[in-house]
Amino acid sequence: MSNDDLARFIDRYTMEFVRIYPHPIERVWKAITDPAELAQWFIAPSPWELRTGGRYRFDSDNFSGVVLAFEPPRLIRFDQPSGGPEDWFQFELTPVEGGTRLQYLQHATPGIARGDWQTPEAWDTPWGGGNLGGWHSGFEELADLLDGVPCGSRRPPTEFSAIAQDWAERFGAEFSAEQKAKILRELRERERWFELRRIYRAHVDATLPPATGA
Amino acid sequence: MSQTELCRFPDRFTVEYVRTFPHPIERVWRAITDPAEFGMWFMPGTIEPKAGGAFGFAGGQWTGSILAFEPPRLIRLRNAGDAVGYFQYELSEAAGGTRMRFVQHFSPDGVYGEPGSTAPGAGTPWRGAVNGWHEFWEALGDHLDGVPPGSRLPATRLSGIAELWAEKIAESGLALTPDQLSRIVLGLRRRERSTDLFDLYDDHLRTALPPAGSH
Repeated sequence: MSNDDLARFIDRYTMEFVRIYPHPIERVWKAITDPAELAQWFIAPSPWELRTGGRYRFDSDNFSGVVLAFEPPRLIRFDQPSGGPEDWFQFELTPVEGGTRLQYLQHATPGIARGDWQTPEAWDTPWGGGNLGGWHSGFEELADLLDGVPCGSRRPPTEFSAIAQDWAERFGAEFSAEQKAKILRELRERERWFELRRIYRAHVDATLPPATGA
Repeated sequence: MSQTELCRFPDRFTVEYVRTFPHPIERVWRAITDPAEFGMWFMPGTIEPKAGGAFGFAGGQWTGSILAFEPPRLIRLRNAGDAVGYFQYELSEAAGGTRMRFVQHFSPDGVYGEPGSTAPGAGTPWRGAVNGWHEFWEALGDHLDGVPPGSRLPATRLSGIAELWAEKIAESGLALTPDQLSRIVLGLRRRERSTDLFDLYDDHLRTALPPAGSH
């Protein structure tokens, strides 16, 4: 878990995450295309039609559209028409020494005012701290999944997680051990997301290229 | 909830808390002595309502006898096996309600805590206990006012995270009822309060506890 590998803005409307996972490309491909694996580190998709022109939908109609490119085990690209006519995002995999390089790219249609519940003013990009922090946290959990440990289980303890642990031991009698473990991991995930949201708000302020020609 | 009403130490082996509750004396007496009531804010247990009677808290892990029982003003209890110590609640009418004075006394000759410890309150029974009583009085205030103990604790960063988690529970696939979620969020906040009080009393013991040999 690191705060050094933040998303990068290729231009004002294109954002990139790069991660190297010490696993074969086929393994990483499965993690980003298998619905059961997506459900663990990201969001359960439905429908999920893995072919060019197929439909996809994550947790809302705003996060749905059509598969633009499907080239196993290297590339899958989606449109996202709710954001704008030119919005798309993609995962691209490349074999590298010691594993697989994952590049996540997301592009937003320029010139669209986007209301953001996190910021009072409308922006012309969708790069909110919560959104970017969510992806960052997701790629951490993807690493956990690939390494065969429960998603989120390797986040270091905090004051908050110590209190939650203490609560679970003393007062969690009505919940099963499995439920408690999941509750504690999810609370820790929420805390991590709060932290990342703050980091990314500052990151956007500091590094997002300005609009040109406006 | 107030952080200003910390306990006072009349001497090194006696602690005193004073609280005023905006309720009639009979109501407060019942909350302290009726098992159906103190089970809600203190812990489950039984009290035989007479001098010479027995008490048992926490499933029989904490037992002893009633030294004095004078409704609705005084109940004094003594732990089993103790010849000197006691703890007691004294109630009196006060402007706007009832004044509760709680006193606990331990034998100065007892051996308490870890030998050789230099933690605040070392050599006394107070470490970890005085913060617990403070927390119980907060819960008693909530109970008397008819709200769940802990439910009026102010929001914190932690409670914000827990509440957001509970709101988004549908994303998790965990089948928890709204009641269970409320209990989790409240339980976490109360544990946080316990931790805060422990730290607060760590400082308090360091500064307010009379030194050894002073009683």
